Amino acid sequence: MTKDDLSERGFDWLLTAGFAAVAALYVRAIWFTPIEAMQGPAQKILYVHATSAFVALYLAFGLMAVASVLYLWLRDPKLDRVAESSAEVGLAFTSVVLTTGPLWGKPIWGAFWAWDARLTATLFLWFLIAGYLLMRGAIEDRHTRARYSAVLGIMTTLLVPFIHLTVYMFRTMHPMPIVLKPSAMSMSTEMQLTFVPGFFAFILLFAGLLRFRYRMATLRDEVLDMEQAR
Amino acid sequence: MTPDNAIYYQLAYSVAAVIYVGYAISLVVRQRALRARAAALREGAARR
Repeated sequence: MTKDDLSERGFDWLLTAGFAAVAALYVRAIWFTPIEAMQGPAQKILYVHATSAFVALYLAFGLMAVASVLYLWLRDPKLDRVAESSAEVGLAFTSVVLTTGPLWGKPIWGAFWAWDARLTATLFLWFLIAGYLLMRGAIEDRHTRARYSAVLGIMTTLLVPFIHLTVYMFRTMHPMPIVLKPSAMSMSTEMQLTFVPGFFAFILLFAGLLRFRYRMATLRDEVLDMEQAR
Repeated sequence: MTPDNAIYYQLAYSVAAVIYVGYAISLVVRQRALRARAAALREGAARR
């Protein structure tokens, strides 16, 4: 089977590498990482939850904002496709954050959900991104859609620094940042050896999903051009 | 004493896997549908 045949069947090397890296992280986290004494095995949720949150908030939505700003400046449809793809992949990562978080909260806090600032703001972000994608589907004219989406994408991303600062600004049940803070990482070396590569595994998965989604958006625009030319 | 709450992390890891794999499958399905549509349009254009 040639490379083109594999590609024709929907096979993607980068995406496969991303899934393989996350599978390796699962193996490392489940069988080769010590159990935290106070929280028990539920602490292992951190290796999926915090890493997915980092990718969604800072990478996916950051990229969406940068691509949106550049679109408003350069009006290049490729930038609109990058923003759209990054938003959709980011929504998948945020969905993981919003489901794994409560599964950690139940055994540690005693409740799946609390209407605290960090959790509520992240839920709002999920709704805003879902709204952004729904709005894209509702506008037919490509240029109008791209312009409105760019503005909404930039406005939505303004929520990200606020979400980061909620743990400092409000009394919140959510733990303080472990990595994105001035002082050293607050976990043992063995746990760091799972946690830090975990970021790279999820970044690789994000890159694979983003590239795949971007190619799909390009193909969709080509199909629309062909339909209009008929 | 360390609490026995392994079921929560097992559930969290399973849910995360379902979301990521499910999303990747949805991308493959959508891409195949688009490829089929593009091929049909090219074929139609070639006939005309």
